[in-house]
Amino acid sequence: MINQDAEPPVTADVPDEFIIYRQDDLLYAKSALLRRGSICLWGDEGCGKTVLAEALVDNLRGEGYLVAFSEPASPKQMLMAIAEQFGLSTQTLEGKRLTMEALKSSLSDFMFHNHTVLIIDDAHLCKLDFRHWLKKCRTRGGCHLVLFATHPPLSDIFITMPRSRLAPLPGRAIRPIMAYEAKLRGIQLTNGDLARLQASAGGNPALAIRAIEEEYLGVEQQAADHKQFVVITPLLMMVGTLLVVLRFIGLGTSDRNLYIVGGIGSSVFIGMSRLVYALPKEGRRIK
Amino acid sequence: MLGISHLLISGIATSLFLETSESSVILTGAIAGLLPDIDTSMSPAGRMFPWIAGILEAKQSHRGISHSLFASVIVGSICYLGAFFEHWFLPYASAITIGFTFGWFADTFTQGGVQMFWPSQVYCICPGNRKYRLKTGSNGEYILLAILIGIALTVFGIESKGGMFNEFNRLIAAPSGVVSLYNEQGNSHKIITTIKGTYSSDRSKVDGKFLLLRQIKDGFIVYSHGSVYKASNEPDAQIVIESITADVGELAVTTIDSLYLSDEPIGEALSKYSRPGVLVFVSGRLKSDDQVIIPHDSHELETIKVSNDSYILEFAPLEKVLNAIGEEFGAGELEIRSVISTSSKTEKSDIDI
Repeated sequence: MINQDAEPPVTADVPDEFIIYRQDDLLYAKSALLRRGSICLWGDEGCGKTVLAEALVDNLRGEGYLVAFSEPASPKQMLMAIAEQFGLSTQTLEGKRLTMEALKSSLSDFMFHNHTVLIIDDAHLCKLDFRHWLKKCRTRGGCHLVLFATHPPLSDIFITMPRSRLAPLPGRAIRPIMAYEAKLRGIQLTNGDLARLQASAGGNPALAIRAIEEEYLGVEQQAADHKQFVVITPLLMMVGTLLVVLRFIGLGTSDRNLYIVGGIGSSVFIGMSRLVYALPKEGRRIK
Repeated sequence: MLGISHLLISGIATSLFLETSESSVILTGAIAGLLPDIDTSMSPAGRMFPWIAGILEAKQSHRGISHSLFASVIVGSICYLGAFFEHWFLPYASAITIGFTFGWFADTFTQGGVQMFWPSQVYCICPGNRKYRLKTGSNGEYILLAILIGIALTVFGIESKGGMFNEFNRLIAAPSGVVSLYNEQGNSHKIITTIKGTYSSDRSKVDGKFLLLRQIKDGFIVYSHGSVYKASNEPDAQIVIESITADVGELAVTTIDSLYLSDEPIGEALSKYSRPGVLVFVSGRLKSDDQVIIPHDSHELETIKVSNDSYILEFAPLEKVLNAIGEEFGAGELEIRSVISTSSKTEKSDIDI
């Protein structure tokens, strides 16, 4: 019997302040820097790289490190932003802006003579010549890099740097993020609502926030965009091959029924598998 | 996925895997298909067990732990543990396990997928393109629902007629199917065969129902309206089989007794086996000094043969034995095969043989 007199659903616990849930990754990056190394932290889109990068910058600056942080822009803009954060002049004595080559030279000299940390977010989007300059700086020494990237290419600076994956956040981290975002928007969600919305996040904090925004705006919940999917079609096909095995068992044991049932079943499965594999692959565009 | 889709999928799976048409077992499996959604208080299962739903909602995402192989193992273990102590519960334990598993497995074909391999956080889906996965309450799901209703009616119909293999045997009409059914049900039911073929004596057509008495090499001994036949593709058979199918008839047990006669009246010794509603067949060899001539219909198996100094009986109907040699004296050992109907029905058997 359905319990009609059940108590109203319990509202989810909401954290009071914004919390960084990637403390392990933060410590990992810091320990790499303490060992005078460089590291590339990579993950899926929306896995929390920018939040972690900003938290790392604040943390390192609080501890007295000489830190520059940059997001992808044109190489010159990035160099100027880095130079300004290191307190270097970006102009000549005549008041003209330094050329790119002059900026590169000035920065690499500064980083060589000082213990500096350069943190680049979305490094995979940086221009190739900028990445090559980073590589040269790192080779020359003095500069310690922390690069954040989404599935970076296996080339140039990325292939030479130690890397660590930013794994999807566990449910116990995603849930408070969602509750906090809901609180910011002034909506009250039950545990049941959060459990439903959490399924579309798949350990991705950006998608978790999007799910809350969709709920807040009252728009239809979109299909999950996270990368935590495993297509089990091959597994089902493997089960289907058991029917082929049955056919041969039927043949070997002269069991006509088994032979025919296995034969028909395996034919159906082969047809189905061809049909499933013939389905168009999912595109990367929103349709 | 809609609740009714879960009910149908789990009900069909239960009926197919357990080869049953028992409504209580199928219903148990179908309802168990709703249980994986206990992780949300909005579902029927969640409303029935709000305390479990509350715990799961607070800790897990929807289609998480309750939609996993792990959950199936837990549910199966609990059910079979119960069945270990209460044997009557065994089919229900199987139904719950199958229904539960297919309940969550069906959700792999939906947009969100399920965490089949929980505690791994990956969601299992099929197919890969979300465009071809089901959305709850979409047109695609209603089309699936219509197909499922069709499948359910077919499967329940097949299972009520003795199962898929039996139906398949009927379709291909091969002797192997009859043997299979005879082995499965022959100890508790009459097995009624439908034979199409020809009489070997005059090549006239045979198309009728016969009671299966025994399987022999490459064929069967069958009985109909007081006559016994050997049906096979062998040259000595009375009926040459073109196609043969079998159905489970009324409840019946077959008993086999031995009878030793030491030169005494055959009829007197056998008359005690004559009971209403019981088919009795006599086999064996009886020595007799004076033998009578017994007419033989070439359409039938020669159930009473006369040799030099004895009668050789092979599945001879008791009535025929009493009529033919009941007055004679005989010595020897006989095998008495009695087919006793145990059905409580008082009406005539559904098949008149």
